[in-house]
Amino acid sequence: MFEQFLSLEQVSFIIQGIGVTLAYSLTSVFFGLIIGIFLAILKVGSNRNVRLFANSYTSVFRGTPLLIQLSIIYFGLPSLIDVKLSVFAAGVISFSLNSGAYISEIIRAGINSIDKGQFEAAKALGIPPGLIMKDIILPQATRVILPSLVNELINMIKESALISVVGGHDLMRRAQVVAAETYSFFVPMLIAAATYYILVMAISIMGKYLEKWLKI
Amino acid sequence: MAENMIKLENLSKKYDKNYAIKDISIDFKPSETVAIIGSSGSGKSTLLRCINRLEQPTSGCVFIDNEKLTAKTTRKLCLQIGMVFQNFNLFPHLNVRDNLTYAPLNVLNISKKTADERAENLLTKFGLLNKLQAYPANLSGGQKQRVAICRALMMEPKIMLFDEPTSALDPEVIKDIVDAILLLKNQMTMIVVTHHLKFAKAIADRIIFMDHGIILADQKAEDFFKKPSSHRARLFLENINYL
Repeated sequence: MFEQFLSLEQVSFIIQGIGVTLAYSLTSVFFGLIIGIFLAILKVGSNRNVRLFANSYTSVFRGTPLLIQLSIIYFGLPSLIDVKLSVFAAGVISFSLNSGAYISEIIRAGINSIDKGQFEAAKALGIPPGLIMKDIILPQATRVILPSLVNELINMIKESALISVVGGHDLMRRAQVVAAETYSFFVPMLIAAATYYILVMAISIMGKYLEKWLKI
Repeated sequence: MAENMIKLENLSKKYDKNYAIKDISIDFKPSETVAIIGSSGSGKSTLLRCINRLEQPTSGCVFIDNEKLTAKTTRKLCLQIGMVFQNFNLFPHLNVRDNLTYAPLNVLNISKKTADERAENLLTKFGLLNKLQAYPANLSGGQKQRVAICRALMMEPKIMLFDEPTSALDPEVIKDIVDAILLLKNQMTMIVVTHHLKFAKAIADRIIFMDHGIILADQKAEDFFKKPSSHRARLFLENINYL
């Protein structure tokens, strides 16, 4: 029975994975947001080839498992070109590219939710397209975009557990390490799960406050 | 002064196989106020929107101040054209001052001080100075439309286009819009698309009556209301006066 219980050090070792998990997910959603905004603008633009590119990008990154994308970038890329990426770099690159595909759809839907009259009024005033997007459309679309974006961050926190496969020391990996030490999976995994859950709850509560604050 | 402020030459706009407007050639003189009337689907809004390229005409030319509107000249020429919409289309996340000053600051690159002064002068003229800090959501329909007029005037246009400016308004505030337009009369070319006859009568020097994408009557306002030159226009007047 006693082997089911962990020492305080082991528990704190697992929980310290929060920092690593957050580093992966926050960095990835940040770069994913940049990629997403860029792709969304291409998607609502008038150039057909550019639209095709952006839509194919989304299609490929949404249509294949994230674990395969990570494996291609971490294990596959070094054999193709002469670069060896660190675990962190490979993780952030694959997560960002993947997240960008989802975020571009979120932002595209946000842009499309804005009344056509807003574009027309801005165009009639001679405002150039870039400024129309930046100062007129996106600020209004934020209300629609924000809840889904919080959702995407929550997803990324959980999906980032995949980094344990290539050896990133996140929550998941640490729970596995402790499990291997104690030959028992139940309690370490339960602790990791509870930590993920608290993290996700904290983010969703912050998201709700942010929404409320932006509505003023 | 140019003889024609706006000249349309054989302008057509086709959606799929149907013509929204068909082979329209017409001139607008400087400082004239023209009302384009007709039933819905007559092509009057499409005609207006082709003038500042919110719609791309299928064929034909538009000349603004004797300069041809092309892909290259559109932005420069359209800066001389202000537009007011049926649904106001104010920017809801900006207050009245920023709605007014955004385009002059970012497009004409005038100084903040000049833009603020210009905004305050216009709002004073239209009785809205106390709304300077208000957001569009806190304005009434008539106030929104007057702010929208001010926003267009901030760019100091030579031409103002009004697309059904009174259609979304309560009857009792339409007078505010009439007064606003009369305030601008003879200072610029104004083209007002409306199906509101009394409104057209109150503001226009000249009436253009459209049906099915073509112009059926083009007369001085007083003549049109006494004796419209087209049978279809006469029926339109009778049907509307019936109610």
